[in-house]
Amino acid sequence: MIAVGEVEGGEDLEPPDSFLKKKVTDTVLNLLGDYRFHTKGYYVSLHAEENNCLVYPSVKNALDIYRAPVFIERLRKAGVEVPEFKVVARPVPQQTVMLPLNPFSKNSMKIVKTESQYYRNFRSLSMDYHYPVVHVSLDGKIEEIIMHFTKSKNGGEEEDFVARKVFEIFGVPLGKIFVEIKDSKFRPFYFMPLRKDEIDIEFAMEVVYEDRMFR
Amino acid sequence: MRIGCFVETYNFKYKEEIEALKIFQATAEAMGHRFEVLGKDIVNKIEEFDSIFIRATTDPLFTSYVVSRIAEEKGKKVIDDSESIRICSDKIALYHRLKKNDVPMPKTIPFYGDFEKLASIAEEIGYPIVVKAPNSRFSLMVEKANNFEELVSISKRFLRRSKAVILQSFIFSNFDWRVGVLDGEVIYTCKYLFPKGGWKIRDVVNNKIVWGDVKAVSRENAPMKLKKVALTATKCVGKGLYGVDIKQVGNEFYVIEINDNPTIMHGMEDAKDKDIYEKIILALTN
Repeated sequence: MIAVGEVEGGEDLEPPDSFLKKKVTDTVLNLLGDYRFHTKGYYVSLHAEENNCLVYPSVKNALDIYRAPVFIERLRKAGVEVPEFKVVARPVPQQTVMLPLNPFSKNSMKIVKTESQYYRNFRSLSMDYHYPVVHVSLDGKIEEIIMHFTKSKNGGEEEDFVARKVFEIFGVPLGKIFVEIKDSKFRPFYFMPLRKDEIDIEFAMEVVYEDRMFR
Repeated sequence: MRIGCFVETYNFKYKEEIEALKIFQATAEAMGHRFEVLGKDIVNKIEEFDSIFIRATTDPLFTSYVVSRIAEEKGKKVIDDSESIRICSDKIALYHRLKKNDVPMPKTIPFYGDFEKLASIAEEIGYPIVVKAPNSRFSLMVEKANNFEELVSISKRFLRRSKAVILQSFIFSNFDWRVGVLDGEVIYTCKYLFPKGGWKIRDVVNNKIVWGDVKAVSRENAPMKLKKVALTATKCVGKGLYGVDIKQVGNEFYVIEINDNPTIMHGMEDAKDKDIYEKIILALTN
């Protein structure tokens, strides 16, 4: 197994630049934390797949997970309770949670309470009305889960359960899951990459060994 | 059957493309199907259709990818499928596929930004070198470097938006072949002529953007070897609809790139092979 990453405390990790030049024959754990299209994380997974290696995440899953409608739809299909969403091409002002449809938008989730907030956020999330925006119907509490494989770095059993589900469905090792908590139920609806300073390599590797993953 | 066709406003920019969309609709209806043209709202309506035909520009970062993936998740037939979009939108991924399958192409090397190695890569390829951003399309983000200084400058500029670029040897020609392939069958062939003073179909000549002409050649009359190379190339991507760009040097053919979601304009790509609409509708409804 090769673990690829470039964070502090990750001396045992294979740096992505050298990994990309190698012929690979082993299972690859891509621990770069951001797997969006054209990022280094994406190319590490692509390189592993082109060498016919099993890689976490696969390129397909890396592309799916950051697109809110695809993320929600796949979770729903796998039997996970998720909120309803709608893709809107033109502004429809309302109190809602707004998400970008396009993963290159740096804007994260927006909780909108007023009409002026709505228009301002629509404009920025749609990159000046160029892309649609996702509305998610939520009325519970929103929480972020810092996911390292099957465990949450910042939560308890419920958060671990969500992290495990998301990992089982997408095989993406690291990321931030947004969930709605209502009536003690956790409903995931969005996934974002982790920044380097949010990645705890020691914790991630502990999870891998504790869980006897990839054996 | 009900076919949902996803378009964006730019699909209505050229009258030839509007005409082509009308022919798609008329052909589908003549074959007993419903053909509905929709914008971005289609994401919420995929369930209403049996198949989805994407005419909006495809890219894993665009809405079209979400449309394709949601359609797949709901078990619909979709052109373009997400795997084809992913491979064709990333010249690095495409290069790996073509290389693995021994498809003839110009000398090509992916470059991940290690500038210490750039001079030796350049020496291996030889000038001029074509530099392509991995997601280049319509000849945008495709530039020619005539020397090391230009190569460094172009590569640095492109690498600001991506972690990799493609470096490819330049083959001189006055046109590229464009071979339209659908599910392993050549459905049209044409020549994309370069504008005078240019080296790609869309070029900047005297500070003006100019497009070259399209000259259709009936698929029956196109060189056998050209068609064979196009089919070999598309086989390593998938079974969708592709436009393969190929350079001819004497009797040899070299694949420059494969495009999913190829342009279809009335009077251009369809000028000789008029049954392409029927073939595509058939693929969507079979």
